[in-house]
Amino acid sequence: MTAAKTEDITLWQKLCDGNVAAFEQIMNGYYRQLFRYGIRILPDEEIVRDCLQDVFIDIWIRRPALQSVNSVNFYLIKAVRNRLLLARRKDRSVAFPDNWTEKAAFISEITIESELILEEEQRLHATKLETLLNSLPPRQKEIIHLKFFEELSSDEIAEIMSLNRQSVYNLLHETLRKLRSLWLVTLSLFTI
Amino acid sequence: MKTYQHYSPEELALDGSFRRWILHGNETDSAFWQDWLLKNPDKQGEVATARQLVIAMRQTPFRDISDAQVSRDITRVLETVVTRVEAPPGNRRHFIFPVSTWKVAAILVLISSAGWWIGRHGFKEILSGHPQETLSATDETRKDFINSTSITQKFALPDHSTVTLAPGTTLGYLENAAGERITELDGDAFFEVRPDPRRPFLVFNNNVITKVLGTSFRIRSWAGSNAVQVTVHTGKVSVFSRKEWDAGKTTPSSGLILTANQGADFVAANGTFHKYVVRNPLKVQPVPEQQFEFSSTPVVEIFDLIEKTYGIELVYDRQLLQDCALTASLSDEPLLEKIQLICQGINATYQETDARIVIHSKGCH
Repeated sequence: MTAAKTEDITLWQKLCDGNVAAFEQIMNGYYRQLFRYGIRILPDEEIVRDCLQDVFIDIWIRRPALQSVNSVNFYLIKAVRNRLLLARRKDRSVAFPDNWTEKAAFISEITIESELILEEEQRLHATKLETLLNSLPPRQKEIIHLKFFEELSSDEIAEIMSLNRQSVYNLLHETLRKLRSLWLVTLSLFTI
Repeated sequence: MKTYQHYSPEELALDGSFRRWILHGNETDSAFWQDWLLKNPDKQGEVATARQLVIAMRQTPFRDISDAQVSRDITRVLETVVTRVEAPPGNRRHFIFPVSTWKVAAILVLISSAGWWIGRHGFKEILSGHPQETLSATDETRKDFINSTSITQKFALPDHSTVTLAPGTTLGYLENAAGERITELDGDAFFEVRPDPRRPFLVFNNNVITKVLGTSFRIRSWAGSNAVQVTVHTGKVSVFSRKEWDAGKTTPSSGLILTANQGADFVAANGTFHKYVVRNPLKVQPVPEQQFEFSSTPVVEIFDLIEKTYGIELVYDRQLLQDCALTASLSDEPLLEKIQLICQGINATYQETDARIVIHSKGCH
């Protein structure tokens, strides 16, 4: 992990000096990971991909000013998040429509919960689990992703999501508790 | 040193050392936790649950991205920075960004306050609406609409159609002697065309011509790239390759017809179109959410409802599926997730071919 981070910083410095190969390497290393983060907070592949491309184009244009970045991962996550929030706001008022609304996220939570029934086994099927994760409100979905997927520290999450450290912990704790209470239950689809 | 005596599974899952042990098998942490388990045999259950939590939370999203798509996207970024951003001044009509740092900072501030402004007041009030009118040497009626900001901008065209342009996009507009509305696009645009059957609306790109009567759709076509992508939100358009167009094959029936929720990519290599269902199909007909609550509902009825709602054709063996029924709540999922969940429920698989969704099933019995 640490080795990878040092390597990234070296690449980043080259990128800032205008090295296209380094730029490409950074994108290769992070594109998929950032997509997975993006799709969690804005479930529209096209918009997420557009935002990622914009973020990287923007980085290239602004590269002389980015010498001081000291965590590539953290910087990229923040940049993608800002861009996505902008896209989401814009999206609500005009053109490129999508199905995302804050309200819808909560509705899905309730309907899924009511559709859930007890299952005998504790085995977690990937699809069902993903349905559960997807049913979380956006902020909970995001914080789980940042903590367990990106493995960011609480301080980093606090900065990205504009929360204080204690709220980060509380929100994580609350989300995990909720998920565990739905733990044994699962979306029911029957054939007759 | 923490004793962890009264930790709940959630608290364990949130502990850095615990996670390092589970996820990375870190030596120090492993030794500590194995020892701890020996001393606290009654905590086996909590540890097992916490472990499952940690692993489960790393579930990859449903909608992942393919390696091919990743490399296509990266290539596009590289193409863009090389062809658009790096081109010497004078070669291109405009740039995405000026390069000096303080200007960038100013622009960034502008973006964030613009975002706030849009959120608060809706789009209408911030419409820049005033095209940069550049007179082309060949045609004095031509108007160029250029979005040189870094957020999408909506413009009203002279015929009262509207177009939303992505950053860096240029659209030229003119009306020819026949009254046809002719546009030329470089970039990514969403059109809402004002219907007028007597005056076709045409969009020209490098290799593709799109002809519409009245409809909303999106076209992406950047100069310097052969890729052209047309997606339709409402209504109907026909697309032609430059070759077909030049050969005079311009009746709607000779082009490729796209209806709502369909898209096509132009494949420059062989001059043909690849037609598909858009990623996130929108409902073409408003259907109350509760209609997607099913309780022992025959699957064929569900399919009928989906076809009607999204205007997308499903292909399946009606006879074979007539005994399949489903209990599910599918009100919030996008189309493809609905199909996926239904398929899981009836042990079927699906495949998208030529803008239709084909369901493969062995029936239910």
